[in-house]
Amino acid sequence: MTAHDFASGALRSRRTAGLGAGKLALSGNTAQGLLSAGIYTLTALIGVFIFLYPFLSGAVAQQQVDAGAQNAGSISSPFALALIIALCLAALAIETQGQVMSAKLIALLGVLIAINSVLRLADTAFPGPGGFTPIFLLIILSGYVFGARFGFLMGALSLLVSALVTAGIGPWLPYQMFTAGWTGMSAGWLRNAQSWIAGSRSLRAQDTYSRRELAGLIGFGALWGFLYGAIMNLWFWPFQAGSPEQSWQAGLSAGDTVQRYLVFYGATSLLWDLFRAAGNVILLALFGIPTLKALQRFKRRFLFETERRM
Amino acid sequence: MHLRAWVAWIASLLAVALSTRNPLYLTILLLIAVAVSSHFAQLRNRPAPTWLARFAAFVIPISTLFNALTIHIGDTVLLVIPGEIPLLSGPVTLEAAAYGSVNGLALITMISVFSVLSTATPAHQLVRGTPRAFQSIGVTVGIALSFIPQTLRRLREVREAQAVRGHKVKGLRDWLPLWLPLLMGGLEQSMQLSEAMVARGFGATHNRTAPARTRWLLFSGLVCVLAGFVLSLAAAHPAFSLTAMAAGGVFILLGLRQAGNASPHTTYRLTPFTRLDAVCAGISIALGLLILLPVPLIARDTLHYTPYPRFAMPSFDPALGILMLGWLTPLLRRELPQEA
Repeated sequence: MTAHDFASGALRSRRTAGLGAGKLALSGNTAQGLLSAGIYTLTALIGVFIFLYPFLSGAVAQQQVDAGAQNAGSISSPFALALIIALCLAALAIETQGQVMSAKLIALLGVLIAINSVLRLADTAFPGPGGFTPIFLLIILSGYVFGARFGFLMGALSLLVSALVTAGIGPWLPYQMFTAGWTGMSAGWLRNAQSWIAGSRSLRAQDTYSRRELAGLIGFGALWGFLYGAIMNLWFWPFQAGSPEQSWQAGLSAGDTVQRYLVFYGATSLLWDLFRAAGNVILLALFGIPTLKALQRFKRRFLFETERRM
Repeated sequence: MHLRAWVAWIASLLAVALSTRNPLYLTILLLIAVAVSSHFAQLRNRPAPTWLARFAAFVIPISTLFNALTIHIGDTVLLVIPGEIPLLSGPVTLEAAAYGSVNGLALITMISVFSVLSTATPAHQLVRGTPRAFQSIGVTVGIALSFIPQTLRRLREVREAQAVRGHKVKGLRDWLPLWLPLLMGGLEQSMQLSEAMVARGFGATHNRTAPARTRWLLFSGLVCVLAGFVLSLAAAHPAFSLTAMAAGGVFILLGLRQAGNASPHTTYRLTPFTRLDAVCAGISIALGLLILLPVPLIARDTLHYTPYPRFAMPSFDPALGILMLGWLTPLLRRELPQEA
């Protein structure tokens, strides 16, 4: 590498150090950018559809039952939905891995996932109260520092690897990966939102973190503590037999279905998720700023790239 | 056993486990999964997965209790919870309790079947089985899996070093002096690893972004899947939505295939697909088809069981029970195959 190469690399590094990890690799090609945005939007929409399917499909199912078409074939079986979500996850993974992955980011991601898996292993061996789990700390903070795409991979792969070491593989895994991926991805968007709210002074380039940012992260962690549980319930709720006041039923309107789900959630999951949300709040409050500073310090080193010359 | 043989074994067994609520068949499937799991744990000199028994001892009573207390349907009333307590007040029936325990048993059976994969297959074989399209993700998962023991060791070292300095963990706040060195050490290690990877030419020949054609295939597939969903919600004929979904699935699979072909991949150690693997996969698929498809001589209706409205013992077809024993074929493996 010549001195010029090094200098141009350093210049590029400086120019891009403030950007999210995913954006670093984005080419300037508008068509490719639109295609990429399209894949992200479609997978997000399909994911939302799948999770909200119980609320949207009730009335339709009744119409089909009335028409005697219930056996003509249906996509609303747990396996069919798990298969669809796995396919979407695969499409999103291809898109994300292509844009995020350099050797440095692969190594960084691998090691952070290993740390997170150890945290989940410890949590499995010595379970905390209710749904308390320490794994969201790194998912949220790495998404916040390295960007939405990195955050998505961090969330999804953390759940995959920790499932491999804790024997947690099952039809629930694609849903867990998707939901944890969304947690990391939305953490990246949170930083953009905070930057937008802060106005012209971009948060991206700064190394220090204000109390306001930390407060935003803590609120975000609390929200995802409940959201993760509420979303994860949806994959089995329509197929579970239970009390009529809290079970999914064909023919109900979306409003009635939501009402039943809220009763079910309140009876079975609220307390459990409260511990997860409280755990996120406490961990982010205690370890948030030091961890952010550590990640930010390494971010510049990891995003340093030299331009290739053939 | 080869990963493909395991996939066939798990998929067929799971398909049957999901389509029955008969506790007798579920118990047979559970025992098969436990036997196979214990056998391979022994072959790999690993302890038998006893956590499943602990988990079952927790899940089945909880599921039974929850269903009995919240579902007030059934003819055999055991007791009545008086008052106006939401969800709880009302008759507690034997039928509801039985249905709850069957649900718990079904859940445990499903988890046991999946746990066979983790017990019988080393993690590196699972990673090696990653499709070529996910090369980068496979490498990341491989790094993560190989760094877990190192991370555990580093945590122990950090804890010992801090203990020597007089640090004691009394509350959550006291974890910070352990957490930060663990994280910083990991980040330093990942920097060294990435430099080693670059020095060995990692990523030098591989174009990072998927080719435009692959991405268009993925995009088209996702559009079709979304259209399938919209059609199903628009109460169109299910055939339309299923066709759109299937087309979407085909497009996405074609995209994955193309992405895989674009990733050059060399395997140094091959896990051989032995004759026993072929026999095991063949028997598993045949059993799944025999039990689930309308083939004569099998009393398929015994797969269905509900204790409502009055409790009755589940029926049992000996032919079906004997057929299920075919899933014990992996027990014929007396030693683990050497990698070529």
